Amino acid sequence: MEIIYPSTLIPTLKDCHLLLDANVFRDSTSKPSLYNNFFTELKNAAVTLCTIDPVKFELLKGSANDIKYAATEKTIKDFTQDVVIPVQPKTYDVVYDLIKKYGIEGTPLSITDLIIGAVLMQYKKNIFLMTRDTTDFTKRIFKLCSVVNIPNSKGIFTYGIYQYSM
Amino acid sequence: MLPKAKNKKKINLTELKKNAKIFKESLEEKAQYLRERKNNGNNLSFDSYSNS
Repeated sequence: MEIIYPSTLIPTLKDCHLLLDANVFRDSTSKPSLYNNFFTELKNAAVTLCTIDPVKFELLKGSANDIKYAATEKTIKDFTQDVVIPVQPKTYDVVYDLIKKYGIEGTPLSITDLIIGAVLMQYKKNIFLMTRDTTDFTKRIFKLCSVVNIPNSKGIFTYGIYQYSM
Repeated sequence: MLPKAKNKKKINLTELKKNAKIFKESLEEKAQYLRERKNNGNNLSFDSYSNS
């Protein structure tokens, strides 16, 4: 099995940050080697894999004991090389702008989605998002730059690569 | 300014797989907890209606 993505993906992401959404980490548990190969290809192309604390909170909450907490934390750390984009007071100001841009379409968004969107708005062309949540990041605000298909035992996970559309 | 990678050491694949397995079990456990919570919640609401 291999990961299927367009040849333009790596040149597009080169020298940029790629923010991984919670679903990417969750999905990676079924095929860690496959995801690791893909992430290594990206890292070799000077793509910095990263996340934000709210994504980490989503993944860590509910961990039943220290071993499960630590295993989750280590998986996040391994894939992102411990790069966590700081959510600054300015980011929260941008969230308000984003809420206005979304209008009624913003109703189902989680707080984490809003903060991810605000980080994309804040860092513009320097950062992309990889997510399987392809309905909440509306193409009216975020440009769908590429698509990545990762086969799994039940079918195919399809991820969108998004960037804030200025 | 966006932060850069701090820890550039190579990933230990055996350790990654081991952690991923525990992480996956933890996710399944959380899903099971939520299912049970939802079911218990429904029962409680049924009981509260039936007692009234």
